[in-house]
Amino acid sequence: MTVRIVTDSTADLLPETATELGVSVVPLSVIFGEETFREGIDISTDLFYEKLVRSKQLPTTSAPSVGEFVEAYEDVLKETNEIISIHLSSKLSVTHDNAFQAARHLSDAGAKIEVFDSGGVSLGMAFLVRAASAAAAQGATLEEIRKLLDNMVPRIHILVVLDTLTYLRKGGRIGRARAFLGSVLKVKPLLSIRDGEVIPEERVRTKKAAQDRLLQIVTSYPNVVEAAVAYSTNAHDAEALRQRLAEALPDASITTGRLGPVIGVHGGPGVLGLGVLQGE
Amino acid sequence: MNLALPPSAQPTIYMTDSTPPVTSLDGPQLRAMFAAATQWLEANSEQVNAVNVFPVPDGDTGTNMLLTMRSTMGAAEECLDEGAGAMLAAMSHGALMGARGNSGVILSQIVSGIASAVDGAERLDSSLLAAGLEDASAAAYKAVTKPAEGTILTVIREVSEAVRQGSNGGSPDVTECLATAVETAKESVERTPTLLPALAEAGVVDAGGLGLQMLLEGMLRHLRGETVGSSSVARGAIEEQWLSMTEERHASGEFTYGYCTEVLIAGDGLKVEDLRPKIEALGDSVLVVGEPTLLRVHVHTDDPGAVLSLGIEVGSLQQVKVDNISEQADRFVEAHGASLSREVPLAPAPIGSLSTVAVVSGEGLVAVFESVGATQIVSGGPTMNPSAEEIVGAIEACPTDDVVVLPNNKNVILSANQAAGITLKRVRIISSRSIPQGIAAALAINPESGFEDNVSAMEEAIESVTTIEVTKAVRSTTFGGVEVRKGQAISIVDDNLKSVADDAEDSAIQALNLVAGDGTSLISVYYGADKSDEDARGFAVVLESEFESHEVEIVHGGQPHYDYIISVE
Repeated sequence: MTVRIVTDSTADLLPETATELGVSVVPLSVIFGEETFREGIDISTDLFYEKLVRSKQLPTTSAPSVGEFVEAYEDVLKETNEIISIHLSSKLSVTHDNAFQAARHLSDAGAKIEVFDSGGVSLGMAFLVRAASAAAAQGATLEEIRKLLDNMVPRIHILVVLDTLTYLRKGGRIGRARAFLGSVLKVKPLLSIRDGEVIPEERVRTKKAAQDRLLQIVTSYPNVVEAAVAYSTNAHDAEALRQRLAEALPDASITTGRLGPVIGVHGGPGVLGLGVLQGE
Repeated sequence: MNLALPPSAQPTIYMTDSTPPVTSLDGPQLRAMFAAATQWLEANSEQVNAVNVFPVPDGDTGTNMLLTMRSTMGAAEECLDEGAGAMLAAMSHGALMGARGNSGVILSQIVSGIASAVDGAERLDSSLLAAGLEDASAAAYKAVTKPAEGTILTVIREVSEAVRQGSNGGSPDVTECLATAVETAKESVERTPTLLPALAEAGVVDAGGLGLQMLLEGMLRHLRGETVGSSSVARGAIEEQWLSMTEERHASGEFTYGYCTEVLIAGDGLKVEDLRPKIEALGDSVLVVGEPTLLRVHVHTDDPGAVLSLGIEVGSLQQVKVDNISEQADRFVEAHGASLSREVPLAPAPIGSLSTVAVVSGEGLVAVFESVGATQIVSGGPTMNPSAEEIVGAIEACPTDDVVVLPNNKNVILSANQAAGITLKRVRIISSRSIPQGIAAALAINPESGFEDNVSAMEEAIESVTTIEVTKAVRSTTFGGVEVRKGQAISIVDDNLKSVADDAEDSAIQALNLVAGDGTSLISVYYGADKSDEDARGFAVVLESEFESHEVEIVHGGQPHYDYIISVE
């Protein structure tokens, strides 16, 4: 029986990609005042960022409920009884835990649902989802896919440069990056996501310095096979970085993508992200 | 710290025509001689300040050397041992701790060098003096990473060589040795422009060398019974230093006792060491300094009356000031309320296990450094150059044992190094020579990295900014081919005088045109105490239009002397 892949909308997969990979996506939501929008379904990314900068009140995000996961799994269970469900870091969201509850509930009835904590988000998750999907298509068992993902996680690195820490702070996900708060000067924090947490790396003063540093850090990792550049509102910066990466890593596959609304709520406009996968 | 000059420093008047030659000196006699040297330097310190190659307002070689000597004499005052070696050891300690500025540090090494040769001796004679001067010269050269000739180093070396030669010939007395020293020093100082082209261009001799010459002259005059200037210490300078010392006490923010009490006590034979313990028993933040005829007392106490009674017991009260500290604290909070009530919490200090000490002048700049994670701030003090002791204090006040120091001024680096040698903590002096370099270094600290990695990151970060310092020339001169008239605005780019104009903004723009090239995108302007918020905003608008491809950030620095400190990155 083919293992089926489930993930959530913070993987920032394009709808076409999800379909192509045969992956089911459970949406998180962004809430503007009274209105709730399911990410990837009720609101487009463009529209979201427009609303974000115009809104006086900051939007919030919410995870899919246990019930929503149960529904999503039941849907997939019509075609298989083995699912691997890949989600954003349990330290950043209750999504993983809700999925876990739903999985347990359904396991009693004989389904085998592995819930996997990616320890990352967005770009980092996407590497895992793709790999799982490819392995499943080749007939890998649930156990084998789980092992594959476990093996990949330490080889994935996620770096982001924010324009400001305000969104991260107000959304409550700032974690140890709070060490970078309070600067009288305008600085751009460069953060990583490691062990599921937001980690402060350094502060840079200009966009150019940020790009230079990202490039420096990435090229310091041996054997990079894949790199994914992501942005929230600054497509131009992402493209510039992509070009420089392509030159620096001629053997790697480099893609560009956009950070979705849920990430947008917490990162804000002007975020440049970089996900890197090292080969074995 | 004791600012006292002992009565023995008063000018000695001899009835005979010739003063008997001095063959050796014991502790108290050495103290008197050094005190006379200090007085003579003080009488001539403005002259020394005036020959600084850089015509900048804070080129205070004379003042730095004088303050270093005051600290030296303060320690000498408290030395009760009458041996020459013991007295010099005490002076050496005072000098090392009180050293300010590069010239002060080198001077402290000279005193220390002399002390090491005389160690254990009861009296200093000419052969010990010769040995002392040689050790002094060696110590001075060792203190500087890149020793340059045509500076105080050349002078002390040539003096030690001449005195050694003189004492090899026969057995001169100490007076003769000093006469040789002074003559050699004068010639050496006069020759410094031939060794250091920048001096020739500016048409001056080396300030540090001149300061050393003054000290040696003062010693000789004392031994010959000649006057060294008036005996009362210049009130102005003491006032300034007193103010900055008391300000420091208040800025430390610890208010355990209720009343800030300051008293001036006039009398006879007043002794700091008798009064101080009694005052210390009454409260904290204690300062007791002065001369046998005039003592100043500062203490935070719940019983100001007891302080006044103590004063009346030993003399008469000249000035009395009692302030309710909690009111002072309230006023402080009111004045700074805006920044304290910021919604964003200030970065916790220290970052990780690394503490950062930054030398900063200007309340806006202090706020900037604190906001990027500086643990302790050392104020520059009257000459913008803190003493080694002040830096040590800040290092010790840090909650962790790993400390980095940002001197932010090339004239502070040596005293910072000296401080690092005194403390037992693991300290690294980052080579920041300007405020922008210091800020870049502070921003490079990664809370998750180890000590050495952070030090490397900080040093690297310094390379990424260019600094422009804009001030007014205090003297007409020529530097690096640029002619400067007194009062004109000058811009110093990474320690090189690069542009002159009639006003600060024009000079700054000229300098920016030299360095704000293609690889740069951010111009940050820290405006000084003499510029208003409006001036600064107007300047920002001009910069934004002149440098369209750059982002321009304007920050209130409040620094003295420099209208604008600009970083380009």
